[in-house]
Amino acid sequence: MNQLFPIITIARATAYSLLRSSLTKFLLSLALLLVLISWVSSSVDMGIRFRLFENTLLATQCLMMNLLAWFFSFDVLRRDESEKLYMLPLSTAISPGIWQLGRFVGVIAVLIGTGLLLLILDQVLLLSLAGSLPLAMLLQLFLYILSACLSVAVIFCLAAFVPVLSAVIYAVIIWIIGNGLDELLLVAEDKFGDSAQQLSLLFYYLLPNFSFFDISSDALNHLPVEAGDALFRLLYPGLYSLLLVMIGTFAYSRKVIGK
Amino acid sequence: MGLSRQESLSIKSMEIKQFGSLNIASARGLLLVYAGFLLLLIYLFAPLPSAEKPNTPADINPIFLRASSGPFHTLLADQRWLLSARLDETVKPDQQPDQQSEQGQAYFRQMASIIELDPGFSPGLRYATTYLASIYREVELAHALLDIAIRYYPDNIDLRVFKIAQEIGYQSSPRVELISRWIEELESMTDQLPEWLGGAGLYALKKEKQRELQREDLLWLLDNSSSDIEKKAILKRLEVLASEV
Repeated sequence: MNQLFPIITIARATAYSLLRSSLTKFLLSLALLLVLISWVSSSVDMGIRFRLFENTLLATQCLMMNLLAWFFSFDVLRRDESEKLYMLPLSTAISPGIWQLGRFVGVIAVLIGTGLLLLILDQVLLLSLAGSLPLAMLLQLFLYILSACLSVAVIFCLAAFVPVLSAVIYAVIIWIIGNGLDELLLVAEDKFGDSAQQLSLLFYYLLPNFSFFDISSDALNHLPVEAGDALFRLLYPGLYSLLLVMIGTFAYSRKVIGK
Repeated sequence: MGLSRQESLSIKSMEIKQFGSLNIASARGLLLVYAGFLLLLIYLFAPLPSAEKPNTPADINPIFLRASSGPFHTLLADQRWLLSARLDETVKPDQQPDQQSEQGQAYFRQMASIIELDPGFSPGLRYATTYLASIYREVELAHALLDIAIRYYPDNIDLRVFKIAQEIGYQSSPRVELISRWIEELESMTDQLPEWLGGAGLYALKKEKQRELQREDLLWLLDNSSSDIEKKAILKRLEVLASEV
């Protein structure tokens, strides 16, 4: 419990520095521009009213959340690495692990904040144009925020073992692989033998599975999403991120200072 | 007489400043010339998109396309759907049957990639399957298209009912045994089946009912088509159907 205060303090400082950075302003302006482009596409008829508009809104949310996750994580961790900032609180007996945890919480807080801001904007636009608020759309928009949080957890965990730039690059690769895991399973079931199927199942369950956050087809076509299914998709990133953060924090705490 | 150290340093600094400013000015000039050259090059030689030869990379394995497009697969499906209207500009309504079949295969590949990218895209699926069955007379391909969607939504009753309706409405001799098997599968999934399915086998044998269904579908296609060439093909098929009575 006595570790909670330093974590909150570090998280708050991280969040403030991220919110003040020109990078955040640039990315949020880009998000607004993309939302505007989505709005322009609202008149295109695709058989379902405002389908293309909803689709571009989803793509914008997904793209922006992941860009924010990658850039925020890189910005914070690179500064720590180059300026050895995690050595600062040593005088107050705060371990590098706690410092890193505080940084992680700060990045997640800003990410969720900006994500919710974009989500509200999307919902206001959808309500004003379409007059309805499909629940699956709301869930998909929120799942993209959670997907970005998992990306941050992956980067923070990897950064405990490899240089920050490599951690971000690996995280992007893991994100790409993680998005294709459901297709890998389908292909393995169709075209390969038992061993390949087992291997793809192993990847499906063990790797960070970003395809769990994708219900865009259901959302766009206003199909119902089962409650149990939705609950799993909402809980998965939290539980997986917790594991990654625990591994990362443990590795940071054991890290030799100055290396 | 030699210069003092201070003087030589100040001359050196002036030289650097002059050289620096000259360098910046010339670099700006060069940059402008280069930018102008690049714009001219693009203006003169950049290929423009052509409606005659649309870029349709339909031969790429759709599942690979879905995996590589990540969470943006539905956006890619929309892009392909909008482009597919352009693809169909190459379809001529008065082609020979073998050419029709080739065109039908091409149309199927294009639509299969869209449905693989977004299996829940029901208006697109309905349009494509109906078009395949009624205009190209390719009922099996229409079934194959529906099977892609069923693979992603195995519990979706509407898709399976639609498949039965296609078999009844478009096969020259509907396979009654197959229809009965599909209905049995449906009955094991739900208690609430459409009433008409009860007499589906009998219904399938009535040609006038089949024509009625096809006519309704063609009118729906006509209402929902955004391509003039497709509209011509639908109207021609409607004429043929009317002459068969």
